[in-house]
Amino acid sequence: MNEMRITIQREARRLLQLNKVSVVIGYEVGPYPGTTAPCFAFTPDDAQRIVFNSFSSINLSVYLPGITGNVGIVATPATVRSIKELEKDGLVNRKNLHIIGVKFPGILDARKLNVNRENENTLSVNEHPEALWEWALHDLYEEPEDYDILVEPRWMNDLGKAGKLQKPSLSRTSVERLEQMSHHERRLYWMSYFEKHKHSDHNKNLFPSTYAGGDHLEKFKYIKSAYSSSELFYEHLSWVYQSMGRASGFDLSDLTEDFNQIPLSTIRAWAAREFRKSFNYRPGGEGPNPLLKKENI
Amino acid sequence: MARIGVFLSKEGEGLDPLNLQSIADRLVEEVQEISHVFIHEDLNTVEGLEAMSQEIKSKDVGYVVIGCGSIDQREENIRKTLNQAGVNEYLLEVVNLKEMVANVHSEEPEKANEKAFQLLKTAVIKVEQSKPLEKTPMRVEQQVLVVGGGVAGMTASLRIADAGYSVVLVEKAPALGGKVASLKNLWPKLEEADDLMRNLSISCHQHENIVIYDYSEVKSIDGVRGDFDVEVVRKPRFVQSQKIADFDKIQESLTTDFPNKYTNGRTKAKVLYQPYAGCVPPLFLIDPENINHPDVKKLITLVPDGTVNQDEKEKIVHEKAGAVIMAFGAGMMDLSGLTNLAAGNSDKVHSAASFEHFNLEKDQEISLLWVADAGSNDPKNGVAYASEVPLMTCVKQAIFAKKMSNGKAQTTIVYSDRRSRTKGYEEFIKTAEEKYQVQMIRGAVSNITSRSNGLSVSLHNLIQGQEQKLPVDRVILAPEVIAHNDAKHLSGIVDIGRDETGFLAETHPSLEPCATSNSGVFVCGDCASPGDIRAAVLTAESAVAKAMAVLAQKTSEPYRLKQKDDQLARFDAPAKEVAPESFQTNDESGMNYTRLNNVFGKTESGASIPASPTRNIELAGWELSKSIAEIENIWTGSNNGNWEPKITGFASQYGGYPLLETLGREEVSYSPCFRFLRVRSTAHLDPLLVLKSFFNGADGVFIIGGPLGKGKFHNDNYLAKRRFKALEGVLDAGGIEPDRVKILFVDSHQIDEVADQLHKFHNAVSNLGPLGI
Repeated sequence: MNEMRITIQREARRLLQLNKVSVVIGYEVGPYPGTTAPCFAFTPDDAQRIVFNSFSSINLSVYLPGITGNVGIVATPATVRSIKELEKDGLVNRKNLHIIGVKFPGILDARKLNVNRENENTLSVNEHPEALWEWALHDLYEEPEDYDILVEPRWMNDLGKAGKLQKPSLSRTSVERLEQMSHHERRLYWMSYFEKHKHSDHNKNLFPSTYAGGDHLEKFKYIKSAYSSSELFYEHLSWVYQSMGRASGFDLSDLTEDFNQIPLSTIRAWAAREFRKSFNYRPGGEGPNPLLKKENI
Repeated sequence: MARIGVFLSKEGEGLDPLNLQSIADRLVEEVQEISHVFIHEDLNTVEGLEAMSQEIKSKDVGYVVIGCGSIDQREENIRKTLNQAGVNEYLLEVVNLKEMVANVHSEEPEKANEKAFQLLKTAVIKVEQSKPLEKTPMRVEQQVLVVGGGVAGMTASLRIADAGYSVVLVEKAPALGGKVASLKNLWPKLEEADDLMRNLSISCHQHENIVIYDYSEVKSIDGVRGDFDVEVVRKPRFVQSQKIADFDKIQESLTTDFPNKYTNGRTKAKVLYQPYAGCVPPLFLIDPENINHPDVKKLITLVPDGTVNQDEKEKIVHEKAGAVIMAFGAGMMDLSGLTNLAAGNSDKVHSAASFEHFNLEKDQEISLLWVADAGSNDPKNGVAYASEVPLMTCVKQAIFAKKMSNGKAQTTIVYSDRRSRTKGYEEFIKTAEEKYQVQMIRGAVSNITSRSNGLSVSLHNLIQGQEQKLPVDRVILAPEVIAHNDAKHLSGIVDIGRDETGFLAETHPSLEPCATSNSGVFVCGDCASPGDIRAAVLTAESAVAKAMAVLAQKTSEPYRLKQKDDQLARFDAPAKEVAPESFQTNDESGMNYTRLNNVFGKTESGASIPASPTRNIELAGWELSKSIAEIENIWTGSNNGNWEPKITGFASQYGGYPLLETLGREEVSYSPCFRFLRVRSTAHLDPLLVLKSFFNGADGVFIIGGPLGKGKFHNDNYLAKRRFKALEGVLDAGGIEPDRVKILFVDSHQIDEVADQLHKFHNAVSNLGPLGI
């Protein structure tokens, strides 16, 4: 994966040196092994901080609204779908974007691997299919629908040329596990989940990185230290509703729970599935968001 | 601290089983925000309102909560009283204790009293969140757009113009007149239709305050009440001159005859023609489909250079209007589907329209039979309704047939329902029967077949109860009036609804006729409902009164969209999809509110607020904070020793709530477990509030709004339906059974359906058990 990092850094540096963009949004090394954080590179030197690996999970499109001028952004297929939604909503202008598209190598669940600073940039789905984050399966090995330059890891390219690039199969998904429960059991499960995490520093991560994330979350102080579990539950469901048809991506919140448990992002995955069924629409699709259409269903 | 006064009305005869004194005592004791509670005999009287006004003044009350009967009709009077008492009229909450509590829970007095207390307590907490609102000055364009140049449109135009306002009259046809132009006479006085049409047309043509765009169509109407931007497309006539010398001679040299589409094909026209003699404006045209016909080339050689311009294009004209009157008329039912009546298969079977100008010879002996219900009340082959028009048309034509033939024609009218409710119409029919010997048979025609020299009509005589066969020479079928082909398109342009028959929907057929879901748009004539000339004139005058009230308006209601935070305005873009014209901030007054008046979206529903991802927009008077206060308090302190479901209800201001009041008036009881909160509209109801209800004690949520696609706010409730469909997936994943939410879109007559659904929902939530979150 190092060659991807080098290509992305080179492209970011070039864009910043030529003043094609005022900032490049990418990933940098996260606070813990097996995590990444958003990186805002304003100068060619800043570009050195950018990384890309199998733990680059955050949907960076959430940082686009409000940024004026031209922006470079590292974008997976899901990020590009979100960008398309933001564009439909008039919150970004594609002309102002330089998309460094990433042919998606998948995301690994750090809890299932022995990850350290030395190996975190080299671990791949190819070698560790058992650690693939299930939500990454849909886009695995896919190209974004739109980009200005496309980057892909060499191993994917090699396997692709050899005709050996195959998606791993998943056993029971989290949604399926959740479906096995009655509503009452499901409710109790989430209530205990939020009760367990109500005092956690990870509260912020209990909210999916949505469309209106970033400073908006801070501004409205949705994240409070003294949330009750019930309030957290409500706020999370609210954000899931808010993001329907608009956002996609991964939730770092899932890292707060043991990997054998059903992760919090399952609620959003479930809701997104139902949204697709009800409206035949997923983010980035043709036409306006179905929730903005005045037509009968 | 706010001084909140609670005023309880006994509504004259009392509100059994409510004990108002006990409720008042409890309010004073438990709700510290209340400064005074007053009990009145009846607040729906002048004395009651004056007493309330005095008490507000003497106790220096700043916020008012009223517990009384039906809100629907009295809220305006209460607001005026508050204004007179020096309290801002928007610092008010009204709770209907009669139809929403006493009448529907009379058999459970304890629960009824508890519910009344909780509703009043919640209203107190809600009113505390209210802010004083002021009406704002607004500029209103002193011009009215009238769409349609028939009798209704011309009448409306003249009335407005005579009052000194400007009118833009847009007519699709090349000449004014509308449907009347195709008629020969009018009932019940049998005047010449041509006289009426010409007089009206000439008056409009000559009026200095009326601009006529003939042969034009409205392309778009944007904006809001008081300030509409109108785009009109003027179609090319291809003829530049108003007068053409030697017109008759030129016509003779043009060889091809075309059916004149403006006389229903009754007459022929050359390639250059006027729709009919004496038309207004008296201009010539060439139909666009004929512009390359060889006769046009010939014509060009016969007229001065420049008279004919084959390259003439459409022109767009921009106009402004403060109000819009829709008067584009209606269509007539296509009879070709009525094969049992030989419609279209025999040249001896006519439609009433084609028979209008049929001439009989003096003393001609001919037997004529009119079928007055061809397709009426026949949803399978025709339409599901019946108007007066077909029967009255038959009677009129039968009288003229008698007149033309010196009484020699045998005239029979077969009708199933004697629709002659309008004053003078029954007398008109009697005149036909008694003076002109027109035979009226109450019956139903089942079949018309050809015979050697005429037709044979099979019918069931409803009076005699027997089948009959009548030999006649000719049959005339009187079709029903149907919605205009353009109704769908034009209703979409101004974002107003249509009823189930396709006609433009009025806000309320009896209380607000001619008004629509767009508060700046009014309807009259046949485009709203099938009617005759009298109805067209009456409705035109009603629409004029409403339009002129808009023009006279100087201030707007304070309900308007506001952005709460400029910094977050960039996130509000999605709401533009829902209410595109309402998102102009920082307008010329420099204030950060949306465009000039109370309108958000063309329909004023507030639909754009849940479309904002940040909820950075709010509707003054209907702020989210007030709803949240209600939801957070509606179930607090409720004793739930023996578990019973707690169902938070949301009822829309114009659809659901009045319907529930009707339910109360009819004393249809339902469980006191329902506590209904009044909301602006289902489209304004944020799904997050429904979600929040579950986290504030509710075991179920019941939402009731107006009819889907045709409520007060037209089709905005489709948005609500979509939003709540999307919410289902969130609830399901979170472990909240989607069956705990019921959304009902109902029409005002569906009381039984609502009662049934309330009962079923109560049982469903009872079976699901407590939510416990």
